[in-house]
Amino acid sequence: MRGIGEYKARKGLIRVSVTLDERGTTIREVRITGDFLMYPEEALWSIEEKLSNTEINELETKVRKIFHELHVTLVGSTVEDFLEAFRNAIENAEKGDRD
Amino acid sequence: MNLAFEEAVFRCVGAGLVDNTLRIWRNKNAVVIGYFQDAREEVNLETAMKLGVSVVRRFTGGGAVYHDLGNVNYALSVKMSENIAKDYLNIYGKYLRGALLALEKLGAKPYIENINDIIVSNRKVSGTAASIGKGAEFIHGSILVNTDLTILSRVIKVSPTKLADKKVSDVKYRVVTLESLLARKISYREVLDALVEGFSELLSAEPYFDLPSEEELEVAKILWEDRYKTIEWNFERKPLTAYKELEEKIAQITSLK
Repeated sequence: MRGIGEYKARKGLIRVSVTLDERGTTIREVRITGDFLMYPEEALWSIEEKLSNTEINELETKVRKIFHELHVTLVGSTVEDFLEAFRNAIENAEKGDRD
Repeated sequence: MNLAFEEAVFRCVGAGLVDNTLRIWRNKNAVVIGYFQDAREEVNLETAMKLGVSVVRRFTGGGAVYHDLGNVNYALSVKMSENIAKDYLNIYGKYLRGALLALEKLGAKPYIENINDIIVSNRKVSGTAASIGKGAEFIHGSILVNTDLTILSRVIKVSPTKLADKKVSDVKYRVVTLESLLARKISYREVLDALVEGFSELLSAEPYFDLPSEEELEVAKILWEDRYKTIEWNFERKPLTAYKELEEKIAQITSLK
C-alpha cells in the first residue's frame, strides 16, 4: 500500500511518500521530498533509511529520536510538521489513495 | 555548468585556495530545483522540454526557481574560521543584508519575510538558499529583474497544498519582477554593480574583479562531468554522499578531506 502526504510548514512544503506492508502496520519504505530547509542536508537520506521497516505505532517516537540523534536543524519547520506529513501519507495509504 | 562552477567556487573558498567570493551570473533558460526536490514533482517536464528549458538540481535546499536572462543570480562564499560552530539558524540573517542593500541602491524598499524571502511591496522578488560546509558559508539567491513570469508559471508546478496556504491561484501572481515594481528598465550591469556594492558594504571589504583560478576550473569540470550533467543527480535525487569517487578527485585538487 502506498500513500503520499503533504504538509505546508511555515517555510516549505514537506511531501512524504510511504510504502506500507500488506497488513498496513509497518512502513517499509519512506521518501521525503520538498522545498524545506534541513541541515545538515545529508541527514535527510539517513532519516529515510532509519525509518524503513518501522511499525506505525512507533513512528512518532522514532522520528523524534532520529532527528535528535542526527542533530538536525530545521529552518522554518519543525519535527511536528514532518510528523503531520507522515500522518497524511499513512492516512492516504490506508485509504488506498494513489498519486 | 553554471551550478558546477558555483559549487566549485564555494569549495575553493572553503579550502583557502581563493579569497571570499561574490559571483554574479545568469542562466539562459533553466529551472533549478532544490536539493531535496524531485524534478517530476516540481517541474512540468514535457513543457520544459518543448520550451527548451533545462532542469538542474542544486546542492542547497529550498524551492524551484526559473532562470532566464531577466533573472540575476548571486552566490556568496565566505571562508569559515576554524573551530566555529555551524550556525544554520542565523546564516540568512547574517548575509541577506547584502542583497537588501543592493536592492535599496536600485531604488526598492526591500525586507525579509519568512526567514529568507526578499520582499518588495508585499511581493517576492528574490528567493535564497544557503549551506555551510567544506570550510565555508554559502548563500545564493536569484533576483527577478525582468524574468518572463508566464514561462515561469508554465514550467514550475505548485502544489495545491501550498496554494491553499498562500490563498493565491497561480505562481506568477505570488512573485513579481523588480522592473514592474519600480516601473523602469533595469540593466544587468546596474544590478551587478548594486550587488557588488551591497555585499562589499556588508562585509566591509574592498572588492576586486578576478578570473576563475585553475583549481576552480578543474573542480567545476569534475562536478559537471560526474554530477551536474547526470540524470542521477538532476532527476533521481541522489545524495552528495553517494559521490565518493568525485570527492576523492576534488580532494586531490583542494587538499581538503
